[in-house]
Order: sequence, then C-alpha cells, then structure tokens
Amino acid sequence: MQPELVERAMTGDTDAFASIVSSAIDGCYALAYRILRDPDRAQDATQQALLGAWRDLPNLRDAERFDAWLHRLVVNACYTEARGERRHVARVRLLQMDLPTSPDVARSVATRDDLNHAFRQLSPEQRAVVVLYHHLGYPLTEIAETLGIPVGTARSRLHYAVRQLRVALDANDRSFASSEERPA
Amino acid sequence: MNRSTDHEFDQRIADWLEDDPNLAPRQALDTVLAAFPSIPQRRTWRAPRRFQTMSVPIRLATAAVIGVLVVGGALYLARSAQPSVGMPGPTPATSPSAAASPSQASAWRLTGPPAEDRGFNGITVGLLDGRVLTASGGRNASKTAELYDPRTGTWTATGSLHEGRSYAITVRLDDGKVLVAGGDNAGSNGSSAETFDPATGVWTVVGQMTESRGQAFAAVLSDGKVLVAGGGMDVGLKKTAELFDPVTAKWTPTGDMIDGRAGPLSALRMRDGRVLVAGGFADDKTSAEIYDPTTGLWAATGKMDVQHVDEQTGIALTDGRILIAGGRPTSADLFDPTTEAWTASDAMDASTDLTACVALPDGTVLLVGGGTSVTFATTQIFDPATNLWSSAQPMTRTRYVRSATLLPSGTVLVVGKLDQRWTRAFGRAIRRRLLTHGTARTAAAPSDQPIVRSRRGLATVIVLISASETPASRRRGRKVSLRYV
Repeated sequence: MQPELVERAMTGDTDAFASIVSSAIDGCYALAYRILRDPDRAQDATQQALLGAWRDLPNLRDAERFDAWLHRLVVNACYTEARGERRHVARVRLLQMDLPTSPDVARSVATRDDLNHAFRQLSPEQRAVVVLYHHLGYPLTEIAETLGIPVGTARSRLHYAVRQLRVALDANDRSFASSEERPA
Repeated sequence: MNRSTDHEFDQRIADWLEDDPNLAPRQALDTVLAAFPSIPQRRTWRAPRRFQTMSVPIRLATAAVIGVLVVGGALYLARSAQPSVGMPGPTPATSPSAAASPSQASAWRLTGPPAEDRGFNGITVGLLDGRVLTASGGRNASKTAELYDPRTGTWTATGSLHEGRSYAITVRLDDGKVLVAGGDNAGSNGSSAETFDPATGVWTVVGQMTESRGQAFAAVLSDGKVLVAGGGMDVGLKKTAELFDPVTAKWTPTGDMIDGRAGPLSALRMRDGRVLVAGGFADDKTSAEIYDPTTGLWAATGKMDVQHVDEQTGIALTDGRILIAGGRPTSADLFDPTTEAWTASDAMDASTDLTACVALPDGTVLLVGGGTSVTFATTQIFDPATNLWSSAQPMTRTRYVRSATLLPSGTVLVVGKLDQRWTRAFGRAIRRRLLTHGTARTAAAPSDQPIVRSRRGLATVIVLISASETPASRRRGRKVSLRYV
C-alpha cells in the first residue's frame, strides 16, 4: 500500500481510505476465508477489520507497516468470528455417481476433504500461522511480527498445525495406496 | 509407509490454499464504503474538540466528574507519596515502612524504560558491576545497546554491535564480558560472534561459529568455555554443538546432540559440571539430554513429566536440582542430577507460557510473567525446601517477559512488553502518578531507588524483594500479597 495514501487516510481523508479499501479488500477476504473456511464469516471478519482499520488508523505509528497491521486486524477479526457462536451449516458434497471418475480426481477430492477436516480441527491461532506461512509465504519472523507474538510461539503453532495436517495427508495417502494394491 | 517429503507436503498445502477464493463479494466492499465515513476515527487528543460540541448539561457534568477525579487523584497521590520522601534506605528491608510489615516490603515499581523497543527478541544480561545490558532485537534486528544503572534507574546508550541480531545466543563470560553470537537477521541465521566489554562499552568481533544458529542453547562451562548447541529457525532443527574458548577466541565443534533442538532456553550447568538441555523446541518436547565436558559427548536422560508447549524457562536451584517451568503446563518439572529422574512440582497458581525466572538470595525462585493471561501477569515464587509455589503480587499487565535479573540491592529487574490495550486505557493516569513518585524520590533519595517512568507499549518493571523479606520463605505454601505502590 502506498504510504502517502495511508498518511492521507490517517488524517481523516475518506477518499484516500476508500481507495485503500478497494485495493485491499480482496487480500483481506482471501486471508479471512482461508482461516475461517466460511464465506459468510470471512465477509464479516473482513468488514470488521476494515472498519476497525479506519477507526484506529490515526494511531498507526508507521505508514510503511500498514499491510502487516491490516493483516493483524484481519487475523484478530477472524479470532473473534471463530470464537463466536457456531453457525449450523449443512455441508453437502455432491458426488457424481453416474459419471466415471478417474483415480486422480477421486484422490484429489479426498485429499481436499481430509485437509479441510484436519484444518478445521486446528485452533484459529494455528490456522492463522499456517495461512500466513504457506499461502502468503511470510517467514516466521514476519509472522511473529504481524501477529504480535514471539517467533518461538509462531514456530510452535506452525509445528503442531503442520503435524496434524501431515497426519491427515499421510492417512489419505495410505488409504489410496492400499486400495490400489487391492485386487479388483 | 508413504510419508510425503517436506517439500512435497508444503507444496500440497500451498496448492490447497491456493484453490480458495481470492475475491471479496461486492457486497462486502459496498458495506465498508457505506459504513466507514460515519465512524469517528480514534485520536489520542480529541477530547477537547468533542467537549466543545457537547450540550451544556453534559459539559457541566463532564467538568464535574473531571474535577472530582483531579482533586481525588491529587489527594491520593499526595498521601501515597509522603512516606518515600526523604527516605534514605535504598532497599525495602532497611526502610521503616518495609520493616513494619512484610506485605508492604515488596512492591512493583515502574522504572526507566529502554529507549528502544526490543520486542521479544532482544537480549538482556546482568553484568558483574550490577548494571544490566540490553541489546539487539526489535523489529529490524537492531545493532544498538543500552545499559541500565540501578542507582539512577535509567538506561543510557552504549557501544553498538557490529551486526544487527534477533534472538541471539547470549551468555555472560567468567571475566564479566558478554558473548553474543548468531541470531536471526533478515530471515536467516547468522554465525558471527562478538563480545561486549562493560568497562569500555566496546563490542569486539570474536570469530565465526562453525555453523549459523538462531535460538540455540548456550552455557558457560566450569573451565570458562562456552557450549553452544542446536538452534534453527525456519529450517530444520540442528543437532550440532560447538565450544567457544574466550582465551583464544576460537570456535571448535564438539559432540552432536541426540535430538535436533532449539530454544529459547538456556542450557543449564549442573554442580558436577555437566550441562542439561531439556525440552525446548524439539520433536519430543519432554526429552532431555546431558553434555559431559570431559568426554564432549551427549547422553539421553529421563523425560520430563509434563510437556512445556511454548517458551519455557529453567534455572539451577541451590540444592543442585534443575527447575523447568512455564510453557503452559500448570506444574513445573524438577530434575535431580544424582538420580537423573524428573518429578513434577506442586501445582502452580497460574499457567504461563512466556516467563522468566530468577534465583533470589534466599534460594527461592521468582517466576514472572505469562503470555496467555488476559488479566494481570502472574508472579509466583517457588520454594525448593517445600516444593511449593505461592502467588505474589501480579505485575502490571505485562503480557510477555523477556528477562528477570537480580540486582545487587536484592531487587529484581524485569524487562518486558506491556499489553497495549492496558496502556491505552490506563497509561496516562498511571504515568502521571508514577512521574510524581519519581520526582519525589529523585530529589530525596538518589541511591538505588529508581526514577519512575513509563512509556506506552513498553515498560520496565522492578519488583522489590529483599533477601530477608522474600515472602515465600516466611509464608511457605501460603498465598502472599505484595503491596503495589
């Protein structure tokens, strides 16, 4: 984000902030969706983070750090959303029983399902670290800085999260390997 | 077993995350653009402007409330500041008010903050002359260093490091110099090392480690050499170890650890000269191993009873045992070097994950801070004689604690990072009150009573606990309450 734009928004320039919102909202939503795995909640978290950003923008000390600061607001909004009352959402995956399905496609779908399931078992704090590390490509030190936690804590969260995800993936791989070995 | 490799696994996770939607619904953008102009921005000094826009009755009511608060606050400060004015004794144990009641002997005081926010990743070391060195760390792996003088309660800048560092390896050498090595800078570990001479305030480069390391273990051995082991940041955890000889300023490899392991946690030298490394960041966080300097080899020892999930702290007790605490479990681990067995301590009063501990002169251990608490940060005292923990007066809302150092006067200097929300809400009022105290004390007792100051977001806190007044030694197993001044 351009520091000049941020500095103008810090002084209360609504046009500047509208420009910031327009260019930053997709990134915020993408981050929130990946942490929450729910479009409605991701939208709520995104809106809360951006409105909070406008409200607290004058207190931002360094305009150059706006992106990291905004990411932190999004993650915090995700924590709030994740800890809120759980919505009852019916999750139905339509299986195309009549169509021939290649083993690769079936495996891909199963992998995604297993990863989804394993990811939902993680705490919101662990999810945030996984997304920042694997999706945004932040190094651990940057993650720690963004989330306001020590790097050791960031590393610990990532370690335990990855271990759970790896267990899910390895179990999936094993089940497919055994099904392929089984005689038809 | 078809176990995926690290690279393959990372790629699958990245691909899976990549498939998720990247575009926000148009409705979200419309909502934000419509709503934000009506939301007032929070500014530090906006009260006067809002005051002018208030209606007359509300203005009068507000003025009345402010007046009551100002007068009441002034009376309160005047009363609480009186006993300390003109008090010559620097320590609570020798002051009349401290002697009157043990519960009044120990208290939290804010002292001068370092000029630079060093975050969680700076270093802090107590020097032989009683001063305290803090250096490096912060957002950009700083090169700067500062010295705390307990007599004035102030920090002053000293010589800068040759290299910026974050989470560096740090130990105080037997000759009083401070060795700083490795650490993280710009996302990668370094291998350079340098020593700080407190007499001159100058940093001197002392060669390179045989490997780059960050968050490694370090301990000074009986012969004055320094053992450095493990470490690792984003990359794999290291098993390697090496020795630094302060006389020749040379680094030489020594035996590898059994498990890859990283800190932050000091390696702890036992009475027999061997060094214990337990837990830390490892695949098995309950594992422990011992380095024998006579053979240069590591040997596995018993596993800890409890798993310390996050940052833990450890200390060698006066009776020879080793205490490992913090990292979220509600009890600590005690290691007996003679039997090499671990036992769980008495239950702690609070589970903390970012703590620091310090041995008090009477043999008890003060454990300060905690990362998960949303209330006041905890302070607990462990008594090795009874294996019991007792609660002490909580610190000001310190979320993370970086170090605790015993000063010559028997006070403990704790360097940490305050909860921003707390400082935002109460900082101004408390700062004013503390400044009043500081002025009185500076004029009346310029000994080692600290100048009391606070700064938003970062503060240094002193808890005054003297050798003769350690609460746990008087009230073993009972809760104690220290008066917050």
